[in-house]
Amino acid sequence: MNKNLANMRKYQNQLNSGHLISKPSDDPFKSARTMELLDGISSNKRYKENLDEGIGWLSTIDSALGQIGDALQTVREKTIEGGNGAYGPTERKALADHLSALKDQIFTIGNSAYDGRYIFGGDKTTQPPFIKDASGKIIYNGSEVGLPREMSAGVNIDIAARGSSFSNSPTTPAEGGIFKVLSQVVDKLNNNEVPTDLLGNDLTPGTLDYEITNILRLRSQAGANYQRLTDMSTKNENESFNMTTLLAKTYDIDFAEKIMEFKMMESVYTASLQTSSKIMQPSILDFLR
Amino acid sequence: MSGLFSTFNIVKRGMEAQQSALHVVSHNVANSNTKGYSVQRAILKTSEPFGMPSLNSAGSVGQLGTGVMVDNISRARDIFLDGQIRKETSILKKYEAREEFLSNIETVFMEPSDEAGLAAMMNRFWDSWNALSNKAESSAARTLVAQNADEMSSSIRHMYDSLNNIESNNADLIQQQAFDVSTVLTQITDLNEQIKNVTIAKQTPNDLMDQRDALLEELSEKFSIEVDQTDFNGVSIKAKVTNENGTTDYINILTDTTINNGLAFVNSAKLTVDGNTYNSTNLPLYIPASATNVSVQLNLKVDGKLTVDATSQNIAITDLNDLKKYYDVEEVIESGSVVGYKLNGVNPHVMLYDKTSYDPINKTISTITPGKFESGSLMGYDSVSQATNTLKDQLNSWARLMSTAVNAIHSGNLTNTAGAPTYAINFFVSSHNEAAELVAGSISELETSIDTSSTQVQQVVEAARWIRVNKTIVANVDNINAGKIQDKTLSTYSPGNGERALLIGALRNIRLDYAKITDRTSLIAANGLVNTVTDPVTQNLSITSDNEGATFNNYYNNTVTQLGILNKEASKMVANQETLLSQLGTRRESISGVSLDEEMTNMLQFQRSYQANAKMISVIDQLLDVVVNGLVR
Repeated sequence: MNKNLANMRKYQNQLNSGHLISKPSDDPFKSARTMELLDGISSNKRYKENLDEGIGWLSTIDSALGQIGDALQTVREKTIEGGNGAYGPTERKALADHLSALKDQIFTIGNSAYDGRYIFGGDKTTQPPFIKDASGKIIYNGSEVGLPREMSAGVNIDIAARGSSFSNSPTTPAEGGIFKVLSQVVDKLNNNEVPTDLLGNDLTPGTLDYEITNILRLRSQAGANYQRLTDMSTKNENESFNMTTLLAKTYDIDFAEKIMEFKMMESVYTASLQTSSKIMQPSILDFLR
Repeated sequence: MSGLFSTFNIVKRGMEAQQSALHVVSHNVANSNTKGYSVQRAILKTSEPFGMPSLNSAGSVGQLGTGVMVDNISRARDIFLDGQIRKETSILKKYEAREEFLSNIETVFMEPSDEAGLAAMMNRFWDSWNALSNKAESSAARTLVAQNADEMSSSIRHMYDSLNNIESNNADLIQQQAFDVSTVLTQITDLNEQIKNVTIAKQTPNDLMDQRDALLEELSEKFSIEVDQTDFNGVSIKAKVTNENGTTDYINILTDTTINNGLAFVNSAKLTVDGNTYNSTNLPLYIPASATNVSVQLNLKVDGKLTVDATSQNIAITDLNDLKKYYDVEEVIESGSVVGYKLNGVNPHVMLYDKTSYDPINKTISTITPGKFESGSLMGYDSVSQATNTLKDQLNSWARLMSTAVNAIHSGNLTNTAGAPTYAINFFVSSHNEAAELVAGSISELETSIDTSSTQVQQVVEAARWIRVNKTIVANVDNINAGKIQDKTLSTYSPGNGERALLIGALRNIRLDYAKITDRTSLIAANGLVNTVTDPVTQNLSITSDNEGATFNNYYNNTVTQLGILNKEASKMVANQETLLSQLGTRRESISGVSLDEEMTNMLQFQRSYQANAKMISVIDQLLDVVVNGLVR
């Protein structure tokens, strides 16, 4: 009877907690598996947050690079326009002003932030990566150190965009990359010179076309990383789902089954109670006067 | 020759005998619910017949019977069954003791759990480092790291304290039981004396023997015994102990009326190595195998008289293996040979002492034997104490390695040495020595492991007992080093860099070999840790997994699983033994138990017989009436 009661208590505990095991000795192997799965689910949850954060970060970079690309397209058109032989100093000056404004726009985009953190500063996320000095020169002051993030166990992905990849290196504090070309174009236009020689081609560094291609290349890199994170995110969700299903199988109870078992145990208990009450057989004492 | 008067005598005897038998029946009925009572039977026998052939005997027919008498009153008892029950009871009680305490320990661990246990806290700890690496600029993320680390370290400290509490409860219980045993032993010797006196007077002391059997069974609950019969129904008791070679010894506890060996509780043990003494409170200790001049002085509580001052004596230890007689000893093996011994705790907690030579006035004892019983609750409690020591040891190595790995990465210091720069602070410090460790660039005691190359006795650092988050970090979370470059004065420092935090968070999946790693230098060797860089652009912090090792989570999960397996085994054994004992009990009940039906039938039988004898009297009376009144008028 005691055994039956103990069994009933076990089922009651399981029904109350919703878990098959409440302490390791209930089933040491299931409990070990449960602990492993709980660890796995917990770390996966963390990676999911990292992935979401990374995806947000990269999409901000992507759109910022897109805007820079657009601005550069305009710059290109205006530069070609500046080569127009019919243009005089006034027109060229107007174009120069327009291009200066575009340069400022790119400068502003370069200092854009995600969640309060500057995206183009490498790991220097707390200060604006591009600064404008007294003479109006735009200089990259960020870092070239990346921002590795753990996206799944042991897989670190660098999600940083370095402003130095389209401007100067932080070790040489002078205008470089886009800003240098833009400054040269503006200077030429201001001097009423034809700037079209600065268009150059895709392969010559320091020319406008090269910088445009460079931005496109950076954008496709960010896009590839973005795609990779999205894929990993899907995989992460699948893993979490699988582990949760597995955990439910090892750790959680099947209510219908448990209630049935509980009812069965209950009737066994009632039966044993009934038998023990009937065990009081007639004794010789009943027949003695 | 017999006459009518002689027939009277037969009847009288018959009535007396039936009366005695009825007396026994009523004793049985009265004791039908007494624990340990075995049913008694009056054995009837015909009395000596009358008329031996002799010269002057009349040539009458045959021998005339003289009636009935009670030969003896015996009890129904199967001695073999008793021995079997005692043996199985000892085993049952051993596992019951284990189950009781291991279940307690399980509640300390609170696993598996998705919120409360250490595993969940560890996960939150890793998570918060990982989150910090995502947002190294955020002081909220830093606060979370400090909080989660604090929660985790206080949880492990609490677990360790609980284990210590359980251990002292365990010791209290052992002390109580050793005291109970002394009382039982005295009762048995008293009973032995009475039983022998009665037996010498040619009577059978059934009830006294029943009482003694019950006491023997009570004794077998405490430790494994062998019972032998001696002269005149006396008994001698031997304790079954396992000596340190693994063979079984029988120690005589008592014979008849003398207690030869009493049980004493080991209050404390003082170890002396080359003139230096170490108390029980200094345990766990490491003794190098090269130590020669070792002795142990035990402080014993004798006869459970708690107020009486304890008896002590010196035990010279010639072979270090002799330590196993008094301590829970673990051999420290390095490249195949024993380099030293780790004393985890006092074990066994009970000593058998020679009571015949015990001098209570001068408090001296000549001989003691370790009470490493084969089974019984005393053995169960001792084995629980060993299991607790193992768990504590595992928690200690876990905490030691946790602080070694986290501190090595956090401080960026290659070795755990003093004089590091102010930013190179340790994340985990020992509250045992906290004031000194808070200072930047100090040594963390938590990371100290046994130095097997030293010939000194060393106290093993109880890292799980003292581990705590550095107070200066809790007070100002900016002191957490999250970035690759720690020195904030350098131009290469940037607040957005979280690579150091990333590396600490990555420890979650890093396998570490607990045997290999004794300090930071060996951690760097085994796991290729790079914890400091000068040029953040080209150099990276890194750590690699050691496939021979286990992750922190693995290690802890293993500990919990081991505990689960131990307790499962204990509860299974308890269930088995209970079934076995209930079968044996049923068998004994069928032999020694009082069946009321049987007693009633016997009662009727004796009652009728008594009535028949009475009837005989009236018949003889009528016959005598003829002789006295009717023959001559």
